[in-house]
Amino acid sequence: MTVMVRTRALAKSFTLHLRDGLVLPVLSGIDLEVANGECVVLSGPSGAGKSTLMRSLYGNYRAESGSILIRHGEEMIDIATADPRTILAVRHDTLGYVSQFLRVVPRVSALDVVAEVLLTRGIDQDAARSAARDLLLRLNIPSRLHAIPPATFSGGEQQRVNLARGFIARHPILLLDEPTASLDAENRAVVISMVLDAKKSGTAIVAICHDADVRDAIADRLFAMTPYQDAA
Amino acid sequence: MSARTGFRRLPNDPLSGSFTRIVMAGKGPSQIVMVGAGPPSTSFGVADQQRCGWRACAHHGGRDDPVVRIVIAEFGSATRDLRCCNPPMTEPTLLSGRGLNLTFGTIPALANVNVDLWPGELLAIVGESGSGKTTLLNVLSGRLAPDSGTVWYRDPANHLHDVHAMPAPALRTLHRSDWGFVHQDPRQNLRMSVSAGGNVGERLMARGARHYGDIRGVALDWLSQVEIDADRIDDLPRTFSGGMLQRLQIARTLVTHPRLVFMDEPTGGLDVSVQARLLDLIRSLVARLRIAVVLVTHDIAVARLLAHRIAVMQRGQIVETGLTDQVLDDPRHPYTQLLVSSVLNA
Repeated sequence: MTVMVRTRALAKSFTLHLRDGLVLPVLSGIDLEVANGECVVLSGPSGAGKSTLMRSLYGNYRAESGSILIRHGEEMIDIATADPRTILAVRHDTLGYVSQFLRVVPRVSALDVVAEVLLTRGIDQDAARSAARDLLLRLNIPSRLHAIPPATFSGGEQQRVNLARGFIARHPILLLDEPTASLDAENRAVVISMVLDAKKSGTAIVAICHDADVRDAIADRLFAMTPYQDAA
Repeated sequence: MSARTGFRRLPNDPLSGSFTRIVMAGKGPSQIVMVGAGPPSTSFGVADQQRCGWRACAHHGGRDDPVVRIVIAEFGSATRDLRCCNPPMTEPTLLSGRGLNLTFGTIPALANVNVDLWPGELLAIVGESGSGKTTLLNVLSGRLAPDSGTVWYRDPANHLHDVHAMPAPALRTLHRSDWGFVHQDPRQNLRMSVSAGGNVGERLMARGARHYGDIRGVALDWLSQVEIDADRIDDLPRTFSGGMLQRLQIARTLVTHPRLVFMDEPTGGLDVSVQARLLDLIRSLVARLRIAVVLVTHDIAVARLLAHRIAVMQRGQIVETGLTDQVLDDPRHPYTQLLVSSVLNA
């Protein structure tokens, strides 16, 4: 077993300068540990800081104190203090993130949106597109949609394009924010099987997931979170 | 020392609690910076912290600096190891501005600005009009001299040049070969009385290309890359639309494969549909050719789409800098929070 993610005494608050410097504490004393091949689901009510923790792990939110160690190749990198270019390198090689909403450049086809992730890793265009095609088909995005930019897709279709984008690079660590929120039962089952495959191949997964069936199917353990004021 | 992260883990295992990092930095090879994890300390300049991207306390100085002496005593062997290491952030910078100051009369246009740019990186400078964005771009590109401070450029042979101390002909050569400049108004860069193909070919000729057929072939290739029909090659730019002129300017700038391009509001004044097309074009060309770009824009959505890093300017100062999505999703400075909360869906 190898530890892939380890936070120590992680704390995060937001200072709202436009509200006279109001300070909103969200996280404090978070010690989370995730090993390879393990899926940890963050659980807790709305407002408990699940998304904030997830975004902090990705380096999208800047931790206030504590450390966020991410195994990047042979090293443990502290995302809380790493310079921007190191964070970009960690995201490129190690850390995948599937957000709830797809944000892409206009005018780019669904197939290329997914294949682009592989192109940045030096895989040639034909191989990248073929891998992207396979993954989109597995997620029930039919071929006739592959050449169309996803901006016009339905919510569920966009989410599946987003999932394809997140899974295609086989990052050693995956962060999944509500991966099945707008999917029907058939597609939820596909996502569950993809998560189980990723776990089998050693991927460490941190997920936020309100759907109890999906959660029971993928989680090895739950990481309970409570809203800050209750914890104090 | 890891080549990638620019820091060295010290004998106390980082996984076992608090730990310390030491990195090489400073202005000369003899200086070292000490960085320890922990709460920010006033002993380390805010600008330095931002520049390095560390949230940390630190001191820098030579071996005689009292703090350096303590750290050497504590981590003796590790400290010595570091003396032959690279500066932080691994690769050397392509362009660095240090301590740039410039006033127009009594108005501070630049106040102690430090900027770094690495090869292949796209840095966006955002802020409201009058915040000093374009002034900074002009100072970095050598078009405007600062009152004080230095701009360093590293050439392909790894020699550092003080941009404002260079002889004028050398700077002109740099602008014609290694560098490019994309203006908000393409007419500033294009020659309106010369054909579209001639505008692209001229930069090649300035660099020494002489074979007419080759030059025309390259010009045709570049017109197609910026999505201008081949049969417009002999037309004069004044018959082109605003979006086409901007694309022609980009072709003219990139044809010599510059390593560094300065862009001043390249999508300003264009229709939204034309903007999206141009952004997609800039993004793919820059990534494919690994060009470093300093991009000035007042449009935060443009910065989010294109930039790796972002610097926010207000009244001539860089008030916040960092990874683009960090600064826009978790802004810290009051002015950045105002800026981000004032736009729709950026």
